[in-house]
Amino acid sequence: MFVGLSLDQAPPYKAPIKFFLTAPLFAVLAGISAFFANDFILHDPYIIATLHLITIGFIVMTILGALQQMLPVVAGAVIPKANLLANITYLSLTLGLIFFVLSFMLYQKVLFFIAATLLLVGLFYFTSVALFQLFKVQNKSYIVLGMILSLLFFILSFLVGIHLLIANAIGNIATLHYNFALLHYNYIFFGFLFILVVALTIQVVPMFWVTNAFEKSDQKIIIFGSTILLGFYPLTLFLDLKLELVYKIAFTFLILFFVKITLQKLRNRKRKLKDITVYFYNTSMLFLALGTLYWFLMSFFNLPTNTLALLFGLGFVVSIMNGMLYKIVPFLTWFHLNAKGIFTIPTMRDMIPIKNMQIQFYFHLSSLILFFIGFSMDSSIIIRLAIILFIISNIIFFINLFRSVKIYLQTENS
Amino acid sequence: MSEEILLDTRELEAPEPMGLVLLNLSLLNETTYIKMVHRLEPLMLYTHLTSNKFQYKTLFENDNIIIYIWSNAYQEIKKLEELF
Repeated sequence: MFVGLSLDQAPPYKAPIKFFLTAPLFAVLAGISAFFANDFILHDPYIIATLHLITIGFIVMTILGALQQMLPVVAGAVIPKANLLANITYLSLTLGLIFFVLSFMLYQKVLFFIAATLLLVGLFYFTSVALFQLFKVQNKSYIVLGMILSLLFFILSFLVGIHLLIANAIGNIATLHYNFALLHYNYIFFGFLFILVVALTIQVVPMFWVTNAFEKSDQKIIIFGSTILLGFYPLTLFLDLKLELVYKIAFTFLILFFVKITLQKLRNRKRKLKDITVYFYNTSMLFLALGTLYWFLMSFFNLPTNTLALLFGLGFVVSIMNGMLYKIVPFLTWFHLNAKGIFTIPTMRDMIPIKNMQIQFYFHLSSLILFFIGFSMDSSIIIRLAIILFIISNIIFFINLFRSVKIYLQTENS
Repeated sequence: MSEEILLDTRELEAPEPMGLVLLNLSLLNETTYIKMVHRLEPLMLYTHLTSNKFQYKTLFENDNIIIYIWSNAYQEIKKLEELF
């Protein structure tokens, strides 16, 4: 007798869910930390804490949760001891980040070393398991190759980051220090985040938004094109080839091409039902395009870096993760309840009311716009207002995601 | 006489295609098979089919992916193979 889906490949429900529910909480903490900053500059300890609460607490936390779930779907890969992997990674990441923030607030070196060790253990353990599973896939699609390349760039950028930290700690700032910092930023953003978003987009956009699949040739151009450019970048940096502008022009075209085809797919989706997650995806693509143009213009004008961080970090990455999580979390709830043989489940659309998502979307969008105006006018009042909207947005985001999780918990216990 | 259950899931978003197949698996018998037309390859469905002792064959036709699914009880496998 058939009793539901097989869970041979999927990780347990709570393994990725705890990552997804913790991410908006860290975003709230990031907002609170930013609110108390004296100046909105990179050297303010509260801003350093904010940046890491967003990058590690929200972005990396979401990515690790999503990868646990996506590996079986895109690669047919089974994560061995999925619960153990999830628990160790989750604990080391959460505790590592808390110690990291405290180390900057309290200026305690010992806390910093504890934080660095915990983060290192968690991230390398997860990355090595994921890479091992991905390398084992026999017919590697561009999605699998994209994930592999993205994780390899993550490891490289992490190693360069450690080099930078040690150089800072011992006060040995060499002439090449700035080049290493540039390499670190480029590998984190374009190598790790951009390539991973491309791979996930190729998978999830046709799956959740009912669009045609991305052309294989387009997948190849974007993923391999990015990799070749990133391979070329250290050569131009360290051999002083003065070809940074060529690198920027090529990358700008590549990213704008990705934005164009993704927006086209979403516009031509086969089921044109009202879907707030499409608003998030479109916003994300718009900010990616704006951020890329801004990054390009920074070669010619002396433009502030905090606006770039806003466009790329909050506008592109955080928006896309909001949209993806609104699909992934209800999907997991449906999938795991079905696997238990429970078929009287609300549909994915009914798990989180559209109106609640819409309210959160407008808080998110308003905060992005106010951040942009605040940074442009250098107005701390407007920036603080944007921070309040950002905090409210993430509280609603948590509540919305939890609605779906609550359905699982209540149904499981009934 | 073979009976085909046609499931065209090309315009359904995840997880509806999976849900539809799961509902129809219980209808499979000596003479009935499923023809699922999809726009993506459902890797997770394969594991489920294998562990529940269903047979399947996947064909790639233009932009579509066609998955034929039948149970061990199905007796007209020769006729089905002509479709592959």
